[in-house]
Amino acid sequence: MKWTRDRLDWLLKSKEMYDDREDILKAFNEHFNLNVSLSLLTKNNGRYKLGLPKAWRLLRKNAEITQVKRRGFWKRPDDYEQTYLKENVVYIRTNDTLKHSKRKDGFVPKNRYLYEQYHDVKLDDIDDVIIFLDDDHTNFNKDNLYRLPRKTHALYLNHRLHKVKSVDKLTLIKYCEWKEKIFNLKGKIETRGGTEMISKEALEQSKIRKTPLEALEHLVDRCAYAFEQHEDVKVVRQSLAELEELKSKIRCLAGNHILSKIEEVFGKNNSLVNKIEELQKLVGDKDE
Amino acid sequence: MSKIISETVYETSIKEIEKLDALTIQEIERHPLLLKASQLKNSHVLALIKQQEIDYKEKDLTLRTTMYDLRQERNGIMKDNIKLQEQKLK
Repeated sequence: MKWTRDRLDWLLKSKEMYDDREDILKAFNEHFNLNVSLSLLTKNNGRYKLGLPKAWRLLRKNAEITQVKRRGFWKRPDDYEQTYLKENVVYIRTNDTLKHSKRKDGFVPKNRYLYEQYHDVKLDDIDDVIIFLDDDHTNFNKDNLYRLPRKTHALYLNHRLHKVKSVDKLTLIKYCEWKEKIFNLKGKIETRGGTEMISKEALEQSKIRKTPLEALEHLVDRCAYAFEQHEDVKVVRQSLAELEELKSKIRCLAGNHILSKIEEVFGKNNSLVNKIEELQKLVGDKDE
Repeated sequence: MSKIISETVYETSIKEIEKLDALTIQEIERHPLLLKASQLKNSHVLALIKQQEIDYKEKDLTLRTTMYDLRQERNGIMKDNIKLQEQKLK
């Protein structure tokens, strides 16, 4: 193809009308009914010093490819969000995350960000974990993301359930939630001084109370509680033995004034004394 | 079989969660065996899951062993075939 004067003049005239070299090339080919390539036009642009606009679209596209190769993230011009991949976790940066992210660069894990957007909730940074139900870390569907408390997730990992392939993941998670619920209820009862407190540890605790009198009060309470709850006879018997032991120790160590205080403790609640007597009878019957 | 166990575990878990949600602490304190029963069920379900996984792995291992045996057999046949062809060419 010859670069005639009229063709060069047309290019010089129309270069102001177009912003991108690809556009001017298209118009040039249509006007002169030619099939000139971009590389040929670029070559002659330098040769005849035409000063044509650059092929910005192509350059931007190539720059993005280079960015992905070098840094591992790419820019999507439609919503101005950036993502990058690090050890199976996809991070995202948008205008929202820039404001709320704790990181300086404004990136947040994509699964957490999308879960918040889907369900319109604010996740706790420490307590909440978002998992993928189908183990595909690129599937960000609403149904595939599941919120778990970190404690439940720890149970899931500690029982090595993440390695179980034969059972559905959601089933395993439900199982963990059930277990966590039991733990929670047990914990609540323990803090209230319920049945679980009558154990070896609780007995040990009673020994290190400040004064013998406090220890005695505690033991009497515990015996009464055990009697009310029809607890295991072994535990009741152990508590009674402790009580007797403590009584004898106090009698040996202290004088009459302490003994009078003990009587006061017992005197406060006559029903308690009766209950202890009944309890002793019950244990005696069992022994026989 | 695996599907049945999976479904059973799922249903049991959901039922138990609902049951525990409905109970108050006072009720549990009055009837501590309720919690213990749930705990026992939970342990039993874990045992089921683990057993299921062991069965699955055993089956997987058997299948793999069969596959390797078949491959070895195929390789032996191919070697014999090559030897026969060599002899024919000679």
